[in-house]
Amino acid sequence: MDSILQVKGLTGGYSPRRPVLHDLNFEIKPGEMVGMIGLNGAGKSTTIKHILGLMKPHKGEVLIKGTTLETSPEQYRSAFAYVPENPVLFDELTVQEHMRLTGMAYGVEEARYKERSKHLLDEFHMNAKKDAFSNHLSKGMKQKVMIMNALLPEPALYIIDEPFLGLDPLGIRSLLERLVRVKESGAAILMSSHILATVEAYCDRFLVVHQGKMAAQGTLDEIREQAGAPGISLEEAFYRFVMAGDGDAPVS
Amino acid sequence: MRQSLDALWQQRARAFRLEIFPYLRFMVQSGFPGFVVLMIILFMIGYGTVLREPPAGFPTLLVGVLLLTPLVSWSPMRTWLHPADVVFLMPREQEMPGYLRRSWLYNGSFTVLLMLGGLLLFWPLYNRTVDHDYALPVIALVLIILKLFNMHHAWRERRMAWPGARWVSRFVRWLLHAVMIAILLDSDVSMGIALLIITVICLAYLLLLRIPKQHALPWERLIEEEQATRRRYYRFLGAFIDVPVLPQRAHRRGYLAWLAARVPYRESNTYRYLFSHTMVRAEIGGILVRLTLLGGLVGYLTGEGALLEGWGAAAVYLLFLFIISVQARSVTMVHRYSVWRHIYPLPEKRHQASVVSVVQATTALCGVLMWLPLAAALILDGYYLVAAVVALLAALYVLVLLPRRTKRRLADAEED
Repeated sequence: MDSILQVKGLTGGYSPRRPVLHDLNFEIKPGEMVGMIGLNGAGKSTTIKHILGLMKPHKGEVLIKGTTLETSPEQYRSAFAYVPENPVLFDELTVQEHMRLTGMAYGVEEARYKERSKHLLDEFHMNAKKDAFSNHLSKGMKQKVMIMNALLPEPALYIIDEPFLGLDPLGIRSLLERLVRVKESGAAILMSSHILATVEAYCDRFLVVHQGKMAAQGTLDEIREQAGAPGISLEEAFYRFVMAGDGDAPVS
Repeated sequence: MRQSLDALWQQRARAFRLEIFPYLRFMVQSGFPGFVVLMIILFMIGYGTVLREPPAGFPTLLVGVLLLTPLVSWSPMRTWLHPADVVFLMPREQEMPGYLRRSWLYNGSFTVLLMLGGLLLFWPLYNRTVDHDYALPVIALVLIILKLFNMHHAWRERRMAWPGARWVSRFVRWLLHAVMIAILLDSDVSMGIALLIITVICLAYLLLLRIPKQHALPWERLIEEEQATRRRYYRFLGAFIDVPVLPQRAHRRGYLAWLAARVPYRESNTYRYLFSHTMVRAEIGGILVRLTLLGGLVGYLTGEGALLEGWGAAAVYLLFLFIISVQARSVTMVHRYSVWRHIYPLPEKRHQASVVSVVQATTALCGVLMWLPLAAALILDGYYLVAAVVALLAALYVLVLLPRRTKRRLADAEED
């Protein structure tokens, strides 16, 4: 099966002299949920920014559904939805209006937009807040709005940065259940998170990013193997990767 | 050693002046001061004409109440507080009275001077047209006392925990002062009745002040007020030069929002839908509503007075239309750095086209609404040609000049 996301030899960063990412290679296939884990400052968000097209690679390329951002920007962008680490909402739109805007932006048919937005409002328990402005929402509710907006267009690829921050237990559960369904329907998900237990339970494969390099990648068994200790948890394996090598101990 | 809060206040006030100063240069270069001077000269000529020959039945008292009530009741409070102060200054809340004393002096002296300026401006008209009881120093003294009361009460209002109580209290305070100023200026009202009315209202007001729950120091309110003031500064300066865009507060404005909601559901309308809501709900919307109302009123009055055979009214109308378009165009600065612009699968040029069309549609709508009262006044007086010509000029401006200028502004913004 063709990969939805392909990252090939990606070297990048804010300054050409000091790359943050070094030769990253990975791909995500339809129906896969992949967890990207790493310490603060490891390069997870920078990787995501390169995939989104907010940053230009120094070397290498990123393909979504076989196209790059340069060759066909609209096709590239319409293939994914993004949930940022910090909710980014428009102050002057209500929750419902955000969904309408997303529906329009991704060309979702009006009838389908209505049906899906109603369903999402129910599912994420946001009906009471559908006419609220973003500055009247708590951090977790804002995050829910971001997630609902990402789910609305039903894209082929979801790029989700730290989705659980601020979500209440019900919200986390709704999100995970929904992501499983989305995955089963054939979409691909790239999720970055520090909640290793959840990542371990839900993701099919893992990308361990450390100091801008791919320290390990694969299924849980493959990761364990690369860590040289079968049977350990993802957290334990992760700890071994980041503590190994140059001795740069975790700061948080 | 810990920095004294008094020194902190001075440091912050200086920092704000330094922050604003570079932008003032651009304002001066734009010729705005010249425009203001011109307006003052025009006003003085008009005022001089009225003073020389006051029209019979000129509503001096009404003008006095409308001018002096806001000057007496408006009690702003600049505190330079930022959101981070909830973390860093809150532990020193017991020292805050010293910090706030500086704010009291700063705002108090500014608003008292402004009020006295207003009074001096009004006095010649009052002196000339109304048979009054009190000399200028007496009225000035009474107004200063009222001003001090207002500052105190405005502070009590800021401390009220419940927004509803704050709004009611502010409304009652303004109303009370309007009544008191009317009684002060109107020599026909007997002192006995006046005192009775004032006492009853004051008692009711004092009772009202006792009811709501109060914060010891209304941190959030003061921070919000400070941010609103900063936004106003930057919005004003934004008319002349690119300034940092501060986060805006959205207002629901149901009476206008239905217009934005009518943008049809289509992919090509995405940005139009967004910018229509921005126009309606951001602070620009409020400014446009006020300008349109004022422009309509001034247009009607100058039209009815047939200023310069109607052409004067036409010039005033076009000036208002121009100011409205400049304000509407400031929407180009909003969402400039929004991440969604790079995420949505939409062509970049659609962003630009949508902004231009929203600016155009807004200016056209305000233009039509302002034209109606002007045209009604002009047509009733028989100046059909003026009404038609002004409509034609406005249409040319909105259809030809405005899109070009808006695109240029967008292009300049992109270069930055």
